[in-house]
Amino acid sequence: MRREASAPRPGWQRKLEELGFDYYILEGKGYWTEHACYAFGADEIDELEAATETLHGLCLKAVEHVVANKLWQRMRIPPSWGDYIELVWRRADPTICGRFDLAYDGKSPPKLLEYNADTPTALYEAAVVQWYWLKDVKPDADQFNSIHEKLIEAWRGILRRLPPEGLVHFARFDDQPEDFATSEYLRDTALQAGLAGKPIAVPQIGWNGRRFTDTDEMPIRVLSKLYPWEWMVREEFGVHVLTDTAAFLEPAWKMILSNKMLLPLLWEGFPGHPNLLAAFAAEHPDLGNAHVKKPIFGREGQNVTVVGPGLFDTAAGNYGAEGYVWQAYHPLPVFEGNHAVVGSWVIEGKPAGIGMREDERRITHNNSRFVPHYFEPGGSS
Amino acid sequence: MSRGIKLVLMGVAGAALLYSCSPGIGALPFIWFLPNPFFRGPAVSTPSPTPGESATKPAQSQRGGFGSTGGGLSGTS
Repeated sequence: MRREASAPRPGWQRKLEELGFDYYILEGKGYWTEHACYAFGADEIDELEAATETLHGLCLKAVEHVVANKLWQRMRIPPSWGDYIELVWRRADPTICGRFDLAYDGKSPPKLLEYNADTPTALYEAAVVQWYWLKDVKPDADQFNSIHEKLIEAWRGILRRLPPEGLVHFARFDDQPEDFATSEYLRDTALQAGLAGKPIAVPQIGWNGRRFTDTDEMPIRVLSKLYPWEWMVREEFGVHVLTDTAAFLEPAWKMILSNKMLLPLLWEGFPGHPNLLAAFAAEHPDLGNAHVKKPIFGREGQNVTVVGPGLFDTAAGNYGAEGYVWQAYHPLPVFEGNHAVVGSWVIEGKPAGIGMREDERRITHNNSRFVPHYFEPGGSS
Repeated sequence: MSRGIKLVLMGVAGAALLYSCSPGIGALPFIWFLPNPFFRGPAVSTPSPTPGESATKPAQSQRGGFGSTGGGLSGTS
């Protein structure tokens, strides 16, 4: 694994905009860069793929453990939601996607930092934008990326379980460029799979006393949402979810996986696993001399603190009211001053590809740069 | 009356009931009683309204019951 300098394509901004990727600058900083790329050996890609599959399997066991033992209070999930979560879990309500954030340097096994299992973004740039970069810049190389194909296949699976009209609503905040693009991309792949897709802004979701509705007063039967479950359960309409008159993507059992309490739960269930870091619900001697404190319900690196000898970084934010977890610190690899993290996509439960993010800081946040990657087929590190 | 004719008349009556409620497809009353599409229990098609439930189009929806948390954040990651 290495970081290589790369000449940007002539007119790269126009090429990105032609793909509808018009948020390559976020809050005045470059979000997409093609002045560099990450190069992997095929054996490293195999290792990432295997670790992703393994981790997802461990996570499913963790969900079963939580459901079977009704660990709702530990997960900071309202117990009144327990029966509903168990219902959709036992019914195997389908999942479309999630993204593991992994620390990986090509030398030691990938380590799970967190699972963005409910509302993952950076999907379009991973699935499509970096693929076009590869075709332009490294046409003879390959990329760990079958995200697009697997998304369409996942939607075909959804289509087979729906009535003939096959309509899915897609809820997001339209004024958030990355969310809008992610939701629209999901909708596009659903359309390619033969479904009908209708967008709706999150605040426009209606409740008519019997069903969730869209702005035309049509019932919402399947809702693909970019809005976190832990917020939904505490809002006015949350209680109506329990009527089970609509299906949700991601399903409510993903609330267990997008929850940082998952990390101590996994360590408790699989202590010493090579893809896990020691994690606890409180400070603990086994954390070693450096740790990362993360809010149980946190996003985009907010309220994360890294503490160790000669080591301190912290990010402000609005999370942490439900408490924190402590995870052993595992340094991200640093290339020319950039801390690199692997976002490994899981589509319909299967590894599907990666997207690389990097930042000068140890804490990856929502504006951390997206950098394309490639690997040489058959090549080893 | 033959069984076949009865079935045809029942079908016509059913259709008349559905379409008499409102002119728009969005008002088809049966759609309000469809279960979660991932529900795999015995009522896989069109369940009837339970006693006391009206088969007419429900009232105008309330909105804004989702989306109030976050203070400008969307909660994605």
